[in-house]
Amino acid sequence: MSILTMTIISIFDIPPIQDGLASYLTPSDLAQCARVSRSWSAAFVPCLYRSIDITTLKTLHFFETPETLAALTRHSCHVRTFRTCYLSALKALAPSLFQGPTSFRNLDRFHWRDRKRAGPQAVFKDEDPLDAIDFLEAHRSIREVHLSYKYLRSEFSRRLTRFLASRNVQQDRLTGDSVPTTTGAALTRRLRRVRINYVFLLHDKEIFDLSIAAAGPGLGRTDGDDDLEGDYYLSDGLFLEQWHLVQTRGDYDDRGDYEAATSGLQSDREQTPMELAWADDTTDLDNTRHQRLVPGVCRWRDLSLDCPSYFGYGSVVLQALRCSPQLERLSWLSIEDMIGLQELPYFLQQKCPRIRHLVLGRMPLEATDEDLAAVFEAVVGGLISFKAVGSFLLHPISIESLHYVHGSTLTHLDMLEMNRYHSLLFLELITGLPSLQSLKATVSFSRDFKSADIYDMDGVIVDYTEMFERDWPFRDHLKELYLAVFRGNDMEADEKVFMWGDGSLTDQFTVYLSSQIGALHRLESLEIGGWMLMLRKDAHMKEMAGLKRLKYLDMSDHNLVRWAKSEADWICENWPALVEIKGLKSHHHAVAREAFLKNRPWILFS
Amino acid sequence: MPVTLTSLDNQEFKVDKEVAERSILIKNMIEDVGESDAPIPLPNVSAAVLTKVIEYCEHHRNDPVQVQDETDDPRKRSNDIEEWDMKFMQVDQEMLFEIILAANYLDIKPLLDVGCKTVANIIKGKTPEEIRKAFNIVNDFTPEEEAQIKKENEWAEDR
Repeated sequence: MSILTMTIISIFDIPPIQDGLASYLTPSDLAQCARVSRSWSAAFVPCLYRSIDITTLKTLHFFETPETLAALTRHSCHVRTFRTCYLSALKALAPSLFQGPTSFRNLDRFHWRDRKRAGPQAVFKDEDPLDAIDFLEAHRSIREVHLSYKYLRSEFSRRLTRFLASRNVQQDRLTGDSVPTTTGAALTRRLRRVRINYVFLLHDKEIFDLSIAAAGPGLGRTDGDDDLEGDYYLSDGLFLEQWHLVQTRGDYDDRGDYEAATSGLQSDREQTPMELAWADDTTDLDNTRHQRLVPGVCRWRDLSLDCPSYFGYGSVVLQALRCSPQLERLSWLSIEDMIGLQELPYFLQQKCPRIRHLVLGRMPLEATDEDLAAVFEAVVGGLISFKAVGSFLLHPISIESLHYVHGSTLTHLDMLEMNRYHSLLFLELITGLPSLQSLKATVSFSRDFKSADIYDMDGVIVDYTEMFERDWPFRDHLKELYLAVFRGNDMEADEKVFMWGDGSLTDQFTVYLSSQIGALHRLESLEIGGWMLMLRKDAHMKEMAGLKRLKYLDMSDHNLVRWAKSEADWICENWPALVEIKGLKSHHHAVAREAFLKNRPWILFS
Repeated sequence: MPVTLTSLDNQEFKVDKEVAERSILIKNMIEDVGESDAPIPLPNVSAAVLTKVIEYCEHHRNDPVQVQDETDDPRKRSNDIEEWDMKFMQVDQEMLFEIILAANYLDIKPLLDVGCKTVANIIKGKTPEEIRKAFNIVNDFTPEEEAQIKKENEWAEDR
């Protein structure tokens, strides 16, 4: 045995080092380590079983096999964290393992969530919340409980209250999809943190009741008013993360009568279980951790809304903007409604002067490019980041507004989650943004484009010649680039076979892109996909010596793209700062991986 | 005030107390013994490794004390190694392991972390065979045993 081998064994024999290492490895990596040798198996299997997550049907299927169940039984003493939404199904598969107190005796954290009813055709039985309580009662070592239920049945609530009362541990968390009135303060008082995923505005009173219960005496609502204009305190531990707006019944009128819309929030109608099931269409209010939340003047800086498309909901969003003077980041992912879009500029300009980050999604079909331009022009302080989601594109009018109003401030542009951007528009857009540090886009390379749905494109020059002469103005700033380029249908039909250097438009475009990307000498992260995969090992790309992360998208789908050893060697030679490569896991690239590992053993493949 | 450290091979190293105290072991020793000029023996660390460790402590002498990470997810990110640390860790494997052992012995948590991250990055994304090759490990499983372990832990493989 060499000295080196002895050192390795001693390293993996030392528990703090084992733990340290394992904490940086994924379950998949740990499973690979367990197969290396007997001593590695002994060191890493306990780490692998430390956290068990059976929250997908795929994982559950693995536990149907006797080998996997036997291994889980054998190693259940190592399990510290157990997450599942299939407890009832698991209990049916291995009653002794999931019922008695003998297994999982060192369990520390138990995260359970209810899931949707699967229907009569389902292979596995529906989740019974009472099984979760049984499990909790059998495992007294559990330090932290995190339960997420769809509907809090009275029996569940009663047993959970009794269980929590018997523990005297105030670390538990309860996540509710809804908080019915039947849930008394007796339950929530036992919890240090209450995290509510979906708060029904119809029942806004309950938010504050819960907070009072969770905060204990001393904090609470300052006045007895139940409506939204009241002044409320939320407890320290209450995370108001997501709102669910149900049938706001806003009587919005074109004169801008927002108060009427607000009053539409009030209703004494009871929720039905059917409404509770809607909870998947959520309205997000992200990162709004506030000790004090005053609906009259909200202090949130980051507001993310994704409402279901109910009549009038747009007015509720605007209402939220009306009372958010501190807002810096707005994500409105489902505008959908023309009133919302047309009124947005007024609210941005008059009520939210601090907006610097904007995410817009799902524009209404009738939206025009002028509407979007008006939104850009209403952001008075200069946007730092803009992200577009869904089926809309920025066309020349809004592009010009973006350049004119935000060209000097915009550093982050993300268009990944929108339609493939037409290449000509894309180039038009980015060449007017000199401060970009991060650019993400999926581009369709086409000669022509027709997008009359948003804007009549008559008069746009379909000529790349001029475009190919423009250098990207952000080459001294850009640190992050995600670019996937696909050829549009017209190009596919036009030039069936594209040859490198054939002088065709496709070839010119390729040369142009590679020369521009190659000049991004400050680039640290490059993700390329689609047709951009051809842009490898190009002489232009030597400038990117500071590149740290490289990701090839969809490589496993591209059977034709093979990595040669020479390419890996080229990269090792020219990009000395590279520490991470993603997308080369497929066996097609084994040769290249080996070459990388030989030159740079520390490169991380993920 | 400088402190003298003596390595396994009896080499003496004079370092600032502030630098030496990045090691909790040494810090506790100094506190226990009080003011003294006597060299501190480190019989588990060779001169070559101690040189590297001191280089690390010198560079990080002004770093704030690390606080315990209280996040829910015990799984941490290994790709956020600082550039200097990354270069520092670009040593041969034997030295890398020696540094980790020394960091563990001397109780220098940030150095141990960065060492573990570096080794974790070598392991990540590799097949068992590639790991064996990377660390020069002999496979002492029979094919049946390895197949059995693979089958047992298949649930984790795509996670």
